[in-house]
Amino acid sequence: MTLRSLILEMRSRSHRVVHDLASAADSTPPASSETNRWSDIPEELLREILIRVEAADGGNWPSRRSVVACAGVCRGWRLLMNETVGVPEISSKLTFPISLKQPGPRESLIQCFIKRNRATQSYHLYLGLTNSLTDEGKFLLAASKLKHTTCTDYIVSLRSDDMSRRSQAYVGKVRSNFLGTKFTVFDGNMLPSSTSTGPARLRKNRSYNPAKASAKVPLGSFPVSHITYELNVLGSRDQGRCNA
Amino acid sequence: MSESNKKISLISSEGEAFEVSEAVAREFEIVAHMLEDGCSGSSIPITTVDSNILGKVIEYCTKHVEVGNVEGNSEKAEKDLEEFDKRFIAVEMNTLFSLILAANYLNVKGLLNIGCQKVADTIKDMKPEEVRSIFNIENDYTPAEEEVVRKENEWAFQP
Repeated sequence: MTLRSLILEMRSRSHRVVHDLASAADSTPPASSETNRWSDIPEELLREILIRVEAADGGNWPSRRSVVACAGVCRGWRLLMNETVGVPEISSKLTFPISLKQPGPRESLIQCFIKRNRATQSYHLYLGLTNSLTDEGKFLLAASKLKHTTCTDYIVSLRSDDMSRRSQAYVGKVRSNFLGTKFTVFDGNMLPSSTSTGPARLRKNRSYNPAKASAKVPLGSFPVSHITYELNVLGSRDQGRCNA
Repeated sequence: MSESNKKISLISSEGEAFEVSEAVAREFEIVAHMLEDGCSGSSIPITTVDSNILGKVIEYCTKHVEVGNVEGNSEKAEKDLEEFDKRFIAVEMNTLFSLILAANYLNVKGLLNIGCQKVADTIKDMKPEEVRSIFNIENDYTPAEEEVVRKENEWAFQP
């Protein structure tokens, strides 16, 4: 037995006695069970937890809402969660509302369906959750049709019950020509959401001023893409061509 | 004395000694490394882990070593072990926190995994406010950021 282990052994024995005495006297429990120390969790362990939250249920909805909830806990959690969640282009997953404006995956398709309500002239876009054509879906966007004399606008919102252009939920609009053959997508320039695009975007955007984000009114409306349907010989609309 | 019968004492932060077989002690990767580095002592101080938690970690490792040693009937054994893990990790949040910290420090990968998974499962379907309250986390967002978070969650929780 080495000298060191001998000393350790002796120390442990004397401590054991002390401990036994202490427990006999019904000692107070160790500090760990008294106070909640979760806020002091080391970053690498929080990351381990968040990776598991992100991977739950194959990363599918509705479990994926936990990812959004975790990104909403505090700044530290948000930063780590954003690092864990890949952009849709790489992960093929829609996670945050901002994902809807980011480039989609190149190799695969994201399957969605639209529910139309002819009476209210409203359209709800859902992410398909099953391969079959069931009604099971995660709500993504709502649109309502506004007819003008020369064109038709479709107001696009993040909320099915709030179609106001002044609302925080406003995403943008799609304007169609009179014939319904040419569509222009306008981005409502939802500035606040730029905070949710993760650290990479934030770093690029050094001049970003959070105070600006409190502006309730969207700052502008920019055409971002055009979609043109070419009429085929039968006069019905054919495959769409998209020019961004 | 054969290798497998060798006993090692693990000393908790309070100085309490836990005598375990070397196989169990080796489940603590930190201990395994110490032994490989030629640390010949028969008692190893684990200064950052208290007796209560160290006892639990040893219970976990002992069970896993026992099951690992049984030959054959592996399917049933695996199922038993899964059941054991489930019961073992069903503890209140503060104990869970201490177990994860200890598993990380001692480098017991299996325990770290089920601990982190348990937390992830607990968080499932909770709103940010609920997560903050069970983890005692302060909301440090500005009102503007808070608004973004609120809107995002409203969208996410819309079926």
